[in-house]
Amino acid sequence: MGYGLFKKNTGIGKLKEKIVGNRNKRLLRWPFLYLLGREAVRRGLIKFPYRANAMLVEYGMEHLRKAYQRKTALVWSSAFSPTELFYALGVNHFSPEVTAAVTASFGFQEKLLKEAETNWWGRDSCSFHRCAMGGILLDYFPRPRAFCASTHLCDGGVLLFNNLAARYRLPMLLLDIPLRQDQYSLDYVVRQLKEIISALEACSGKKMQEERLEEAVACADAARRELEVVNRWRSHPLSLFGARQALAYLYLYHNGVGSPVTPKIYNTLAHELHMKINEAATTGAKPPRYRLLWLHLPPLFRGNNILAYLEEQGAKVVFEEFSHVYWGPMEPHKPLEAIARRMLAHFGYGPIERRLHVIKTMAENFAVDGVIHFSHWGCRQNSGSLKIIRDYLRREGIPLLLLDGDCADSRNNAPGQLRTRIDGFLEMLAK
Amino acid sequence: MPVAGIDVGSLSTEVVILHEGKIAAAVMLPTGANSRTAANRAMEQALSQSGFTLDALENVVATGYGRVSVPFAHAKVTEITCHGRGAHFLDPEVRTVIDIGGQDSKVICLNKQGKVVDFLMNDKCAAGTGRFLEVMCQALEVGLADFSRLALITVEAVPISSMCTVFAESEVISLIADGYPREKIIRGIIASIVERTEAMAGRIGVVEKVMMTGGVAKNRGVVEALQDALGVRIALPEDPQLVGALGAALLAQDGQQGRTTMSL
Repeated sequence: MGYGLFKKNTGIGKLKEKIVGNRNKRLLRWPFLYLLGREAVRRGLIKFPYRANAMLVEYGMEHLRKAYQRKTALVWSSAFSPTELFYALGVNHFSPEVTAAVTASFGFQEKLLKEAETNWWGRDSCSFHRCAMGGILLDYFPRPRAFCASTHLCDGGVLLFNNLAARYRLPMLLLDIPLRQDQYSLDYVVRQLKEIISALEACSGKKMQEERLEEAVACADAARRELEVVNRWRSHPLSLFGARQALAYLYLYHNGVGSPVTPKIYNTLAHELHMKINEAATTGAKPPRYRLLWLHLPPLFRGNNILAYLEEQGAKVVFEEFSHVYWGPMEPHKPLEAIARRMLAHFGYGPIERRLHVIKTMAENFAVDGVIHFSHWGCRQNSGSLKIIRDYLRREGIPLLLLDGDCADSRNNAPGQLRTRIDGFLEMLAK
Repeated sequence: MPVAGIDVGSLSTEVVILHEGKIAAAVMLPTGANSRTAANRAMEQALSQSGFTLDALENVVATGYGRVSVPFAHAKVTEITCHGRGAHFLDPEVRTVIDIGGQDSKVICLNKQGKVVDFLMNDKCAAGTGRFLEVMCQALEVGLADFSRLALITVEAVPISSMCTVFAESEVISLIADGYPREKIIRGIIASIVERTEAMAGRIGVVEKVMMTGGVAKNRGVVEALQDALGVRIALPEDPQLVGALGAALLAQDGQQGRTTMSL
């Protein structure tokens, strides 16, 4: 059966209603639910194509269980926060933006978006933030003791967190990331990290141990190394693990840096990919006809089949921008400096040349035939540099498809138009 | 062996049958509510006009938004590729195709070989397309032919500020009620269409020679205003609405001769 671009999936409709219905809010906030989920995965009651996927879900369930358990202080963190600090200090963290993405992937976003819009959150704002706000207004999310946001990439996230901090009268820990990568910027970020640690200590009642911080940085560095191995296997011509398979790992990419579990999951995935590629090579598996690179995120809401549709047409998104390892080796004995360097290293922040360089590197490493840039509704950071990216890729001779839509809000997508653009692009590559 | 191209658009459906490199039939019908029915009817008429049977057609390529609903098509190709192919066939010097159809507007860049090298199209909003023109004609109580004729009477325009078709319709009705002459309102409507197309063309970069295809290209007022806005002369095919179907038929012919793969 062929894929439509957008399918209404009614299979879990009733379950969805039960979970997001107000009567069952308690269920969602019940830590035991996540314990059950974790155990179901651990005991193999839920099957996954990769053992690493099971480990990832276990990690996610445990992460959410701790967040809802409220035994230790909870901090809400934005997508690019210095999560090493949370792991080192032993405070839990919860990312409403990442949770909004997960929510959309399960098809629960409609109620949350409606709640936010009813409360005057404009429909032209980012749907991840609207979704997050809806979850907050409906009291689905665990209550924090502080908010921590970095100014990386997304200004909407900072505004959301500022709003929430004022609403709950809780501390807002802002990590201001400078655009330049120099010693002054490094010192500036280190100073802020120290201030954030003090604030976290105050709100959690815990004291940061230097060795724990070094361990967390060592874990972040191990995660980097393992993810690089994963990405090398992903660049194999057979491309067994494309964006469609890798999207769930964004949860780890944003939440898990600094956790001892993260390198283990990546390591397991790398081994499994190695084995599966060897198996596939012996069975004569064929590589995809077209290899594509995806910039920004693809639509994540349940019912959209863009990546599957592409695969059905013989085109596979072999890599996505947000799985790129953007930070270099981290020195555990200089933990704050190492974290600051990671914060400053993001290619999507600062001069556009950084992003262009990374796009070219990814395009070369993954031997792509073309690039798809998805302009997520309301995301100024992502779409602002379109002309520069287009001109650059044109000079490099790399075909580019520009798609406009929304990652979380299905209403901001036009399936017919998207399909025509995708088909037209593939026809362009075919010739 | 004869081949056919069928373009099932949101407003009209066209069929072109080619035989030995010449057009054996060309048909255009309103699509109506059911694109599958429209495709069948248009093909029946084209077959009757050409004297061929459906079984005699060696290859049929479907295009347009309803391309997925054509039961007898051997391959489906987007209107982007088909308009590019059709325009290149009609004039190999063409490097930019501006296609404004019923609900889509596109700017397509071609290379010397007629290959599509880049394109842009509208999304989410269909303002400034054929359907937009139809709604405006209804509001003004003029036919499409009169709309085109009245547009040439004056160069003065009453600006239309609404982007949404529904709001623009209300605005036009208000302007009529306020006593503005229809021809000036029409110039305002044309200016709003041209503004959108000009912006899209500017984004992708216009390279001469430029050809305009699709139903809106039949409106001389729009074409002239677009020429002025872009500062280029726009070539017009004899029947701009048939270019998509012609391109599809040519691709069917290419496929028959093994020049292209039709896997999409």
